[in-house]
Order: sequence, then C-alpha cells, then structure tokens
Amino acid sequence: MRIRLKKSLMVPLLLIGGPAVLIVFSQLRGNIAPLRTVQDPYPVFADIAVDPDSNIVAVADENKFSLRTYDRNVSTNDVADPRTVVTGVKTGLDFVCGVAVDSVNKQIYAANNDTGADLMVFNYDRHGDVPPDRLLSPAATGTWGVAVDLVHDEVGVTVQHENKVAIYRRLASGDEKPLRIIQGPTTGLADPHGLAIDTQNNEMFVANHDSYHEVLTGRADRNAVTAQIAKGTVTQEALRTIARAELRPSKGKFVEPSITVYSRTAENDTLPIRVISGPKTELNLPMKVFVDTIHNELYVANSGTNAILVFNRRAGGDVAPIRKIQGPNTQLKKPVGLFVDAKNDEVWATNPELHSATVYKRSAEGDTPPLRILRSAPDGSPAPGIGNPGGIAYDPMRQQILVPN
Amino acid sequence: MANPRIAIFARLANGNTDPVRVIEGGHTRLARTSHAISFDERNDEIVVPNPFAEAVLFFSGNASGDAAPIRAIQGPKTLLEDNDELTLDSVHGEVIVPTRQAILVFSRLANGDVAPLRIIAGPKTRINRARGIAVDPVHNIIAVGNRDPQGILIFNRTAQGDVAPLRIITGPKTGIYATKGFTVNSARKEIIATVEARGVQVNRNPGESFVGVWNYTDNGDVAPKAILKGDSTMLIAPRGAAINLKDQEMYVIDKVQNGFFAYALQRILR
Repeated sequence: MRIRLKKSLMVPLLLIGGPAVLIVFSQLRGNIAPLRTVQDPYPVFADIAVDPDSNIVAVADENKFSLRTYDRNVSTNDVADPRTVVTGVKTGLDFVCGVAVDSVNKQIYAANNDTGADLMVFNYDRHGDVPPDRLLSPAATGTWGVAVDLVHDEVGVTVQHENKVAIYRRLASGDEKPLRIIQGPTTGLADPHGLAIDTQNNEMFVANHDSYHEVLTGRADRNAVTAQIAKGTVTQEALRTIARAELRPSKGKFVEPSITVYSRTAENDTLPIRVISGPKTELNLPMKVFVDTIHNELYVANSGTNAILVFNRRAGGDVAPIRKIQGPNTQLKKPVGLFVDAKNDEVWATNPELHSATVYKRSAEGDTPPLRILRSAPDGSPAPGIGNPGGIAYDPMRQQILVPN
Repeated sequence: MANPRIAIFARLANGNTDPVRVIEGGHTRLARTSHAISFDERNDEIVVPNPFAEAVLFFSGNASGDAAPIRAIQGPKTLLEDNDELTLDSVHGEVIVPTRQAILVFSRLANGDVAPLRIIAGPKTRINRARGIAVDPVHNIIAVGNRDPQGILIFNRTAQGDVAPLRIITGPKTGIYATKGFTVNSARKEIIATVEARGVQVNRNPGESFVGVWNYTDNGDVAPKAILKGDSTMLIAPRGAAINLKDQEMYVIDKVQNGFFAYALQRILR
C-alpha cells in the first residue's frame, strides 16, 4: 500500500522531522553529549603586574586563556569589570602564566606555560581576539616566569621543562636566539618559576621548586620539531628527523626549594652568587619573586604555605623571612602571582583557588586583611582547579574521579 | 592551574564544583606535567609520575592535603626520563612506564633507586615517542601509542628486550594523528584511546579530536569500532580516559577545556 501525503504537509513534516533525524544520526556516529561536565567558567588569575603611572593592573588568566587589565584602584566586592580582555586563537594566549609590564613602552608581556611556550607582547590598549604586537618563541615547552629589564633593554624568561633562564633583547621576536642562558647542573635551577631582575644591583633572582632532572647546558634549545610536537602540529616527515634517544642512568632527584641569585649577566652553567634555602626560610612551592630595590627586600609568593614571604634582598643560606603576610584574614590561598607597587606602597598577590587578587600595604605583616580584592568570580565560587590536565583515573572504592595537573 | 596537585571529585560532580579533596603541597613531591594517573583498587593506592624529578610516586588511596608519598621510584638505576605517563597492573603488581623510546616495567613495591624488572626497547619494538599506555593483566597485552608509525603498538604483557609488537594499528582509516591517554575495557577486550587532531591546541576547534575504541585483535589499517567525536562531545584536546564499569560511564579529561566530561559508555559502544 502506498501512502500519499499532501504536498502541504510535506514542509511541516520536514521541518519537524529533519532536525530529529539529524540529531539521531549524529548521536549514532558518536557525537554524544556528556552526561556531566566539570569545568570552571571563570577566569583564574595566575601572575600579576602593575603600572601605577597608567593606573592599570595586568593579570594572566590560565583557565580561559586571557590577558586582562583592570583599574589599579578598583574597589568592589563584586566581580570586577576589566578595562581590556585579550583572548582568542589569534592572540596566541594559551595556558598563560607569567606576566610583566613595560611602563615606558606601554606593553604587557605574557608567557604561556606548557605546550604553547611563547612569549607574547601586547600594547596596553589591545582588546579582543587580536594578534600579539610581538611574539617570541623561547622554548619548545614550559616557559613560566617573565621579567623586563628596561635599563638594559632585555627580557628574561624561565623554562620549567629545561631548567633554564634565557635572556633576550627586549624587542626579540620569532625564533631569535637568546643573548645568554643560565642552564646546567651547577646552576641550582630546578623546576624554575618566578624571575626577577634587579638592575640597580645587577642581580637576578629565580624561584625553584623541588624537582630536579639533569639538563646539560644548551640542551633543548628551541627546536622547531620539538615545539611542533608539543603544540600538536608536527608532520610525520619532521618527526623522522629526530634522533632516537638511548636509555641512560636517570639523574632525577628531589631538592630543597630555593631562591637562587645570579649576576645579572651570568651565563651558561654558572654557580649562583647566593642561595636562599633551608627549613628556616619556609620556602614551599615558591612561585613569583619580586625585588624591591627601594627597601632592599625580596618578596616571594609562597604557594605551599599560603603566604607572602619577605626577605632581606641580600639574604642567603638558611635564613628566616624578615616578615610574612599569612593567616586566615589575609585571604591568601596558594598564591602564585606577586607584584610590589612602590609608588602606592602596596603589594599584590593572586589566589587562583579563590579567583582573586588581593592587595596589602607593602609593609603589612602577619594575619592582615587585604586593603582591596580584585575578583574574577563571585565571592565563594567553587574552583575545580584543573589546569592543562593530562590524565584521569577512577577510584571505584570511593566513587571518585582523580585528576592531576 | 599552575599549582601541582591531584584534585579528586565525586563521581556525580557536575558543573563548577570544588573537589572533595586535594593532594597538594611541598611534601607531596608532585610537580606539574603529570600526564597520567592510576588507581590501584587491590591495594588502595594512587600512582602518578613526576617527570621533572624523574620519579614515580605512590600515595595512599585516601591521601589528602600535603601528604608525602608512601613510596617513590627514583634514581640512576631506574632509567626514568621524560616519564610523564604510566599505567598500573594491579594483578601482577607492576607499574609500566613509557619513556619516549622504551617501556620500563617496575614492581609495584619498588622504592628508591631500583632497576626495572623488564625493558621493552630497541629497533624491532618500533617504539618512537610513546604517548598513551594501558595494560590488560587478564588478556596479557600492553597497548602503547606511537608517533612513527603513527598508531597503537600492542605487545605481549611479559615482552622483554628488542621484540616486535604483536600487532600495530596504523593507517589512514584509524584516524590517528597523535594518541594521548589510554585505558582498556578488559571485559570486552577493547582499547580506548584519546586521539588529538592535528592543530587543535592552536585552533581549538571542538569536534575534531576523538576517543576511539579498537579490539585487541585489530591489526593494520583498521577504523575504530566505536568513536566519541563531534561538537556535542565538547572535546577539543582529549588527553586521557577512564572507565567505570559498574555505572557504565567513561570519563575524559580535556587539556584545552581545563575540565573533564562523563559519558554513557553504552551509548558510545552502541
């Protein structure tokens, strides 16, 4: 039997039935929506830098891959309105961590961590999905800290994966070679994070975590193929140009977290001038470091103890901090970013797990509440804290899902 | 986030939610770039790599806060290097660690500077920049992702030395560009691999990367028997998968999305 449909019914039937058929078909081909998702919808502040003359604060957002500026003196308990938001695939911003400002040339430097290890430079007024005004590719993977030296017209980055500090011309771009590097077993560099350059005293400070593996001087200089592998853009032909690595005795070890201090012009496998390390220092996952040359102090965002530690600039060895900002009233939680605004006598820190940056009087000590809080999410918002993840496991005993960063 | 940590969520967690507990802090010896994690149901332990210290760390299954590892494999004899992944064979008590050119097998109880029990390495193995690994202790296979040839190498679980893989899944029909984290469904004799499409870390296009399912017996240019792929999946750069057979769910972690997704396993396999 043939079923005849009136032409007038065909259009509505197609309109109703067509999408349904498409949905069913797409689901059959594996285009299946998740039952549940766990994601943080808000920006998560990593590093921070302030230009008091321009009255801006720049923050790197490692969760939504953005670079944001806010009014320096914004004061609200609500989510702060940014002045500018640079984000999108054209920007090159990825899992961005380190940030620095060049107050003379009105530019912001942002370093991607992990696989997109580029250093991007944006003019202050950039907004939206715009390409960087300058892009430098210092490593295949793992840039973290960035510091600008306007006196000598240089910029420095730390590279986690390669236990390296690399110094470039300030205007370097593309695959330009560094002016000098610090790298090798003598340097004491171990999973380096924050970097500070003291142009007055010609010194450089690096925050190191506790994981060490041997990287010989000059090893893993930016290699186009390695970087392409990390970014997931390599071709099979390029892969075949990489020599096979032979098994070798492992050199990995755990070391004490430290702040290593070098001559500003140090290079290659050089000994630090001083090392701050030991139980009295309370160093525990030190992230950003900042040198205040006016007051001769060194500031450390000490993630492991929810504190800002302050040392004498000339400190070395197993020395206690001269003061610290720490305690429940500070609202510091696993601080990562840090900046000392000497003009306004303030110190800033970021708290990724609280979606906030907190501001204190520079000389604050102990369990001091912040002067102001810059929020990227409503107060009390949950924070999954998943960043650039690569693994997942299920614990059937507790019915729990495990995610390492 | 920039802090090294293991975040642990309730199975039914959904949306923007806090973990139920977190392992983090200086005593944990964790670093970032741990691209795999295994849970040992038999011994209630968590195993995770620390490639920056060339170490494998073991934690108690209920560890929380700034907990120290209960064991750590680390030292010159271990030959660990670029060890950002691992898998666990709880039946035979072994931890299996791919480096870029080798597979190292350690006793689960190894502690300190201990040599591998077995090493799979050499030109016959064809291991080249291994990425993604899983073991089935019941059916005695190790599946490892590979870049050249681009695909999945399948070895006998007890293979040792310079041995050829039993089978290689490779070719245009596989759709594989770069494999990432693996798991296996032992009951169905299936390999579940996350596969990242070329360029998605840069263009962030959803729906190009996928999770593919292959049979243990697949060999050569074989398309996945089931696939999780498309805009609806929300996947951009899937990096690892885990399955929960009791509730018939699969969990996939995504590097670009900075989150994880739970899927109905049967809908994928249907």
